[in-house]
Amino acid sequence: MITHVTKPRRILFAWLALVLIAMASVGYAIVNTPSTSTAARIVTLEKEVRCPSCGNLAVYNSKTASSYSIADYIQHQVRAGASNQEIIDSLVASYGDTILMAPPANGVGLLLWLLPVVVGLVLAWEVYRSLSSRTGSQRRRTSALGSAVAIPTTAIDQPSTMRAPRGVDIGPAPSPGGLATERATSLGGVAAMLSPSAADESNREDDVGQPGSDHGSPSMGETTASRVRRGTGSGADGTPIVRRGRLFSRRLAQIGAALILVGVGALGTLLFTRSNATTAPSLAQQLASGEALAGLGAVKQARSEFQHILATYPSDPTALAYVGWIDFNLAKTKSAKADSIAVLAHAAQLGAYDASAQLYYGLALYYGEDKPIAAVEHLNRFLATHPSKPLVAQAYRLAKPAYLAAHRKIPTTF
Amino acid sequence: MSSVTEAVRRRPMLTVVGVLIVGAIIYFAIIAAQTKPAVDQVAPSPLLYRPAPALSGPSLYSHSTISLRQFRGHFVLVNYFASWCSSCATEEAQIAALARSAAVTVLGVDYDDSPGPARRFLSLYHAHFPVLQDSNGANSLRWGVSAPPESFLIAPNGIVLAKIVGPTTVRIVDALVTLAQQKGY
Repeated sequence: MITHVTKPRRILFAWLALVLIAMASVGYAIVNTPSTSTAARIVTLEKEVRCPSCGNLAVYNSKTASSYSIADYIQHQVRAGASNQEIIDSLVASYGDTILMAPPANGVGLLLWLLPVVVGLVLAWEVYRSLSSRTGSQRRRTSALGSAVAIPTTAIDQPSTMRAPRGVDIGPAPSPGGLATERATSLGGVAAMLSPSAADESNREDDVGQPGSDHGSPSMGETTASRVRRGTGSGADGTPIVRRGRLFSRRLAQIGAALILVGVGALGTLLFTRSNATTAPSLAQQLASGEALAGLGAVKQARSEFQHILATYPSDPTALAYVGWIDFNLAKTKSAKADSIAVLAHAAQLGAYDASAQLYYGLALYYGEDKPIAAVEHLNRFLATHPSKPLVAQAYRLAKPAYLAAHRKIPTTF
Repeated sequence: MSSVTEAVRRRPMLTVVGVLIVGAIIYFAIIAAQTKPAVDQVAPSPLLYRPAPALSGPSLYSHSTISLRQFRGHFVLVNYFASWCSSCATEEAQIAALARSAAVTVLGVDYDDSPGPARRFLSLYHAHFPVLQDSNGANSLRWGVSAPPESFLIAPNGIVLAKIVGPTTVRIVDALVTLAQQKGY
């Protein structure tokens, strides 16, 4: 099937593959160019820096104390106007190169960067050689049809003692191993060396073909000697040993080329699917920024931040609770207030263990619908979620009247 | 010799690749030979043999600020610990003993901890040495601390001499101080 493809066509394919690889590299570089926005820069840096106390995780993906410190440091430095390189350099200065997810391109790290390049070059060379050697062997096969018939007769005519040195350029009494190695390298480089069966076979032949060999009958000696000569490239083609050696290296090259293409494809797919995730901040970060805005009193901005989250995660209880609570506080009409309480009820239903959802629904029940007993029930659920101390301190002022109205004891956790 | 030139002529690309590989092996062997042996360092750190990074923070026991600079002229063992860290508990008795000895001054840094539990933890081991709080982790970051306990031995001239990762003992620290004194620190 492959033999029908002509040489120019194959070269075209090879060029096409090269162009594809080059385009993939350029694409990768473009996609990986760090964005200039602050949030994207922080995310990029957090992904480049390793969590120092947790094996092979980036700071972005880990939740240890040291990771939080580094994340905090990165955010602080980015906001202070430091460049990515300055931040990376300062971290390397205290933790060393091991703090980076990718090894540096110097020292021993350079070895890791060079290795794929060397492997790629070797594979490319194998592809090139397999393409050129195949067309060459095809040409030789057609031109050497006559000589292929002539050579065995000359081989039989000569005594075996004369033939062995002519086949390979070695001493008068070649050792089996030496001859095998020499021939293996001339057969097909790495591929033939890797093929133990080919080496074994040549070893056996050497034993038989050697001058003064005990177990070499005259007729057997003649046939193997002629095979040895053809195997070393004396002009004939189509012997089983040569073909197997070349075929092996060709298959290896094809597998290599296929692996490169699969790798490029996989990389492309990975980058394509991950491109959204790298630029957009995580849900937790969005929620934190929304909560920070709400805490600062920037109610309108906080609301739009939470609406933005709801566009992506429509049933996130925290975002729903904040939107509902902000609407509840801003509502001027009764219907607007009822709508906001409905949103809060929905949030509390979705987030049975969500601190914000339970707290704000509880407060809305007391202040909006004057149902202190139901309110206290939700406030107790809020306390059961182990909320943060600042949130509890803030909630206390608003929750105290509800407990008093319901004639319930205020929990000690407040 | 002629067979070698013949082989080179027949496979120029393979020869180039071979030469490159041999060159790379020599290059990396030189780099590996130049790296300092690990026994000299206790644990590798880019801070070693350089002036110690800034270290200051609020004291665990009072409202004053403690700084490493106050201890110039003494061998100082900067010990990062936390009350929640179980390995710190195994070394704390040794650190307390070191603080009582004259060989070295101990400066504790409370890593990612609350003052109350930290004070209780230290009193449990009768540890009496200055401790500064590092609640936001800024000091640990400058010192390249991954997880407590980690200790650094600082020379009287303010140079970082050793980084010890994990629980340490009086014997290790004493040996390091003696070694440093022999080397003229």
